[in-house]
Amino acid sequence: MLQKIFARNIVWWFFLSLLLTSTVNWRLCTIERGKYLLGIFYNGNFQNSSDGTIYTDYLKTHGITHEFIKENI
Amino acid sequence: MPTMFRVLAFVSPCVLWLFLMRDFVFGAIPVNMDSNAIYGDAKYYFNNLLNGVVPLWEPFISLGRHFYAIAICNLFNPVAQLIPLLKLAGMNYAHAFVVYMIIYFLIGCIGFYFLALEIFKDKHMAFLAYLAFMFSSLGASMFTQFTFLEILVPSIGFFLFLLRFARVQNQGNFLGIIFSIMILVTSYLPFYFVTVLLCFLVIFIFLYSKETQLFAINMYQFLLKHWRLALLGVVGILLAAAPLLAYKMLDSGGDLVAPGRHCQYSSAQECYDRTMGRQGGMAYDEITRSGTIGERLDMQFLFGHLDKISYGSDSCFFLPVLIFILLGLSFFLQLKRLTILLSGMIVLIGLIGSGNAASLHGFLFHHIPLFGYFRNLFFFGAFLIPLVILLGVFQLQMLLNIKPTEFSTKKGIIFGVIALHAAMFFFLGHYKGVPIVSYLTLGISVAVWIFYYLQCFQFSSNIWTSIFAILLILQPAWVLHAYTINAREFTSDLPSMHVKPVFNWIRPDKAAVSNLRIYQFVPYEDFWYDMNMTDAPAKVGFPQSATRWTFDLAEHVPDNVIANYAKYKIYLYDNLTSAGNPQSGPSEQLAINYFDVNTLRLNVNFSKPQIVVYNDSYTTSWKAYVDAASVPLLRVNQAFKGVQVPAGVHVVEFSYHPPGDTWVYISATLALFIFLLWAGFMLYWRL
Repeated sequence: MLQKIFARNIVWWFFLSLLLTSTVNWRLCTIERGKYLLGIFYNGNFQNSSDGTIYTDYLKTHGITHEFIKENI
Repeated sequence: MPTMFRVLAFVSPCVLWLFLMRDFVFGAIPVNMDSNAIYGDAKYYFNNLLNGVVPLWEPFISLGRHFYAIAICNLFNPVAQLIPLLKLAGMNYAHAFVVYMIIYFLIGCIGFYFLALEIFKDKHMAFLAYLAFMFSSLGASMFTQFTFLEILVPSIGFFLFLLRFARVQNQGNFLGIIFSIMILVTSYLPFYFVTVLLCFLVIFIFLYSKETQLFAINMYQFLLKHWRLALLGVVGILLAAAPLLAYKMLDSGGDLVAPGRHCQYSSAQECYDRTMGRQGGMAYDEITRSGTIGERLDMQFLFGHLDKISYGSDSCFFLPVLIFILLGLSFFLQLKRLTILLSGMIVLIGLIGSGNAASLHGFLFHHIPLFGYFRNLFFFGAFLIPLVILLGVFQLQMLLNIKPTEFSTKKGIIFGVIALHAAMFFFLGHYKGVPIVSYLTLGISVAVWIFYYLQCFQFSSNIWTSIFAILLILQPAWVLHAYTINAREFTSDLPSMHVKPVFNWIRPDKAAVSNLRIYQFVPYEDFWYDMNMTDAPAKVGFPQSATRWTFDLAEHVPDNVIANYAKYKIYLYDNLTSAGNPQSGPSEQLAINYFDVNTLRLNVNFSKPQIVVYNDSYTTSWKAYVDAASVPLLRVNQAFKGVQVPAGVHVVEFSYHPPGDTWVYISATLALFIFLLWAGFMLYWRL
């Protein structure tokens, strides 16, 4: 029975998810992405009006604060 | 299936893709970001080649620097030779470059079809994998980040021929492997491929130990039997790797500031200390500070805001939503070795690509020297896309193999299908801005699976494949359409006409940079000057690839002083302690005899001995000649070239001869052609 359960993808997906969530520093990824997006879209030379909205939205929803955005513009 | 129908099945998605990307295909939207840089380098290379010169030096920017991009832009690839051929046929360079990119992409799609066929042993599954590959972000991102395809397409070739060789040990498959490696070492840095291969080997050997043993024995016997062929293969790889090795030799000489290695993200002082101290490798912090997968890829943008993907960045990653639906549906399928292999590779490559956000890369960096020599870890994303596609299509194959006969079993499966689709619906709803077409795909998918498992229609496998093909294309077609519309704000023309470089005696005071919108994002103006082969103002700017001494000069002398002095390219000195006389044009005592990007030849007629100073960067690879006789080249005014010339009529020449000279590039191109023809012949005749 146990062998049957463990022979399913769901167990493997669960194991991989666990591995990813425990080994990756997602907060750091978000900060790096925030810096990158700020660099690309808010570098002072150019404001991308269509994309700026969603990326600002992204930064806010991921906890990259207004102060952080201000400091990095 | 009739051949005509089969051809149509392969061609029609290509036509749809070309239609969706028509503004890129017909050149209304210029290539952007790194593809723009690669176009600049390709244009510079082939334009000079058609002028009869293999360009080794860039005299127009950074006060003259080595043309380092020659070794890492796929310029010797037989497919890239289409660019000069199309130019000779009357097309301009920008259009020829786009044609080359698209053909390379389609070769990748076809290669991926054969790879999938080799894995799944099923033409229908291979066809769906081909479609998913074509309508993934790889097709869209090639216009901003062609490097993805440069490293991915030969890697697909390598794994295809490796699998074929494992099945049939013949010379054609062996040469296919060799040719793929040759392309890999000329395309870009081969370290990404090596990392992926290592990941593959680690998991494959663990999962398929018996098959590995058998493969090793077969390979050993093949090499014993065909040792001459193996030897020629090694020679081919060495010839193809020669341009990269020549650059490495130049770099080791300490004549230049290597890209990434010295100054990518270090402070000015650190950059200076490293360059002058001739230190090698990159610090861990520099490799992981920018350009990781975590920086460019986020779950939110895999599903949401797909109509907002900007042409102003190179972080375009998406896959047909059906692939994710298939992965969701596969939860209760039996776990297979192939699932472990593919998903294990995805996770392993993803962790390495995450840089310092995961500890694996740090561990590898500290224990394997290879990992100290490449950054831009998000390039691994190019490998993740096909791996996820293969994983998804494999799940589809298994789902299609379930043929319930009992009604109760059918009921159970259909309940599972509805429940998993509902879960996917809530999963998608969790993200902002998920397009309606993704939900539509999900809705059609649930209906298709219910009909499939109810077995109400006795469709042939061709019909089912067509249904899944439409489902697969539906959402990405809409995404590609939106991507093209977003990119239209960048409509402009890149320099694309053939140029015969002319020696200008004076460099411009101000930048003559175009108002191209793409350069407002990334300061890639250097490539604009190279595309036009016109002089940039006399400044170093970003020190990447500047020569060691020019960089040193720029660190110690104010920009305006350098600009005022180096604005004149030629000075004459009675001796080096006296003031020099700038030359603003030809005169009775000095005239241009010949100029190309590697050489400057002057006719001189001096009444007294003079030192001719050419304000173009000095490196030890430059040579000086007076009346064709070699004379010592002087390093003058810290960074420039000078030569002592006696009184009278003479011909003075400065010419550039880095390690390998032009021969390494010519031999690499020829070797690739020969091996392509040879491998093609052997494969065609199944030898």
